[in-house]
Amino acid sequence: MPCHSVRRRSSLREFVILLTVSFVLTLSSSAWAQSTGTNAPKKQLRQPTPEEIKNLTDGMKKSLSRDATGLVVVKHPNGAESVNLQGRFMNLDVVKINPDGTLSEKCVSNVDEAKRFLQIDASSSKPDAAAKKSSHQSAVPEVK
Amino acid sequence: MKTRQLLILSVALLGLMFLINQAGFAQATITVVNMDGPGEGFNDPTPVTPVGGNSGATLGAQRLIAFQDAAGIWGSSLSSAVEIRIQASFDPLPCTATSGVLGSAGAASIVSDFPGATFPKTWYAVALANKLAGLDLLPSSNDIVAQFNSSIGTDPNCLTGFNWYYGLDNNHGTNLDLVTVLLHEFAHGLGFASFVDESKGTEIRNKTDIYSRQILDTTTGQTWDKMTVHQRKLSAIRPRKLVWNGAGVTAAVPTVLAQGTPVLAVNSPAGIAGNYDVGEASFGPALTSPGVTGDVVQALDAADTTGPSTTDACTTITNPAVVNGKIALVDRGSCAFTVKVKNCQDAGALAVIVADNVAGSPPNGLSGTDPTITIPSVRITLADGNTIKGALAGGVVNATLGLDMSLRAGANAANQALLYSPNPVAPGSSISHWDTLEFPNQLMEPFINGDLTHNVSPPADLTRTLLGDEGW
Repeated sequence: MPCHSVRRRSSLREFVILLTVSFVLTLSSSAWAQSTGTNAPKKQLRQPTPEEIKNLTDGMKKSLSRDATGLVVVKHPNGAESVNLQGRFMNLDVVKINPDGTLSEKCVSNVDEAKRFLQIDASSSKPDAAAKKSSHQSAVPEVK
Repeated sequence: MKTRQLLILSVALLGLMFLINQAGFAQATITVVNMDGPGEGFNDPTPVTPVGGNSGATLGAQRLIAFQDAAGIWGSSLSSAVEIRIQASFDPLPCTATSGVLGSAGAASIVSDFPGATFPKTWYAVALANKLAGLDLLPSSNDIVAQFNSSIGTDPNCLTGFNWYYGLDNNHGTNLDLVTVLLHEFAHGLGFASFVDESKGTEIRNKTDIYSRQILDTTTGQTWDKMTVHQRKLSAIRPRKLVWNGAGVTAAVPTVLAQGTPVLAVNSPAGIAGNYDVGEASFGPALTSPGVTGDVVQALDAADTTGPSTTDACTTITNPAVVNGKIALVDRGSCAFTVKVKNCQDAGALAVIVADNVAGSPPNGLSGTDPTITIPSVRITLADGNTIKGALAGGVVNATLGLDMSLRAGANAANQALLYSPNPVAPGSSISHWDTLEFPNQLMEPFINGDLTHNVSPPADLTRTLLGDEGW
């Protein structure tokens, strides 16, 4: 019996140790990476030409289509209805390198938004900083 | 330690682990379905060095591990008895040396009127519908479609000089943090999306969706599901008037968003007194409370090749005696915002207001960097600039540039989080994001900010909570 009692206590200790380790691991997994990266200026670059923007946005048209024309509603025996979106109604991330070499990213849901984001002010010759807020500051795509 | 104490400790630890799981670490199985062919995308055999916790030895393996990491973060935050399948691929997408598509994602299908639906005649992203139904409603289909650009980092003519950061630790430096972009896009696929065509106000087959049901227009007091097509079209371009009406987000806002919304408060004359929207600068000091108060004056400079207007502040200010100790008003255009603000600072201005030179609302911010700038500056809309100029022509305008401490950053007075609903010159808006006023920066703002963490839940982020309001 004493032997049994020792084994029991020992296995209980192991159980508690395992639980403690699990607990610590659980807590540490909750502390997701908090480090911050910044897009530091790298080099002067030209902006995309209108033709390049057109080619880019032409390639986005299907994903960004919000036109439901032609989408088929399927009726299911349980009363449900479903629509396969056929790759439409997507959200799309676009990115541009600013003249000062930093990056700006934007998630858009229609082609007009994409064009506006990628277009540049024709008179612009100055850098356009990365879209980010470092303190109580706005995400901003324009420098001038 | 005695047995009794050990047992109490064990029970306490189990309880804590249970609570943690309930709070933020529920489980859903999210499977990344590799759609790429041999030798490409996720199967690219190019040898690479492990980076930032991503142990993949090939480019394809690192891509897949990053996808699985993002899927794992969402999987540990959501609960569903039904597997969520992400149809994933890495393909060459449109790209030039200086701009391109990073990727896209969204729900593969939408479902309505299924067993377990919380509202009738309402579309749900299929992954959410499956969760609510407790079964796979479309077992032969994947739930989320995600396609990302394989040319980045492999084609020298695509975003030259930049690459995906495949590490899992967010130490992306100047590169593109793939996990952050995936977390954002997966959220759209999980249901952080309206299925209304915002430019027309139309719904798919005249049925609302679970997201649009909770878009509240505070000017009319109506949610989008209660509006006509025309009303929705008008509502979609009411800047900072649309809020998320879900109770979960509203309750979480005080724990997530900082107190204080940037504002230009015109104190006098009475005819134009009130709060005006501003876009903040990425340079100079952040706005504070009580902020900077002073008379607003028009700063003048030479009209020359640097700046053809006498109000663009592109060269040395010619009326420093007027500007000194005041809030300078200048116009956007011709030179960098940092140049304008620095010229006003050199003339002794307390702060600078840049009036936009194109119509649109809300005002964008002022971008650029100049560590020598020590005064605050903001942008206001063209219309608001004209209002202030009109008042200046008739007398003194006194204003305060600071934070409205009665509001959280990116929420209204009722702590409802603002949705992104800009009104630019061209039609089109983006309802499926938070407003850019949200601070700290949120995962689901339209601009993917470099300081985002990989956390999707309060107190860092409202994304998980919004999904909870939908039924997740």
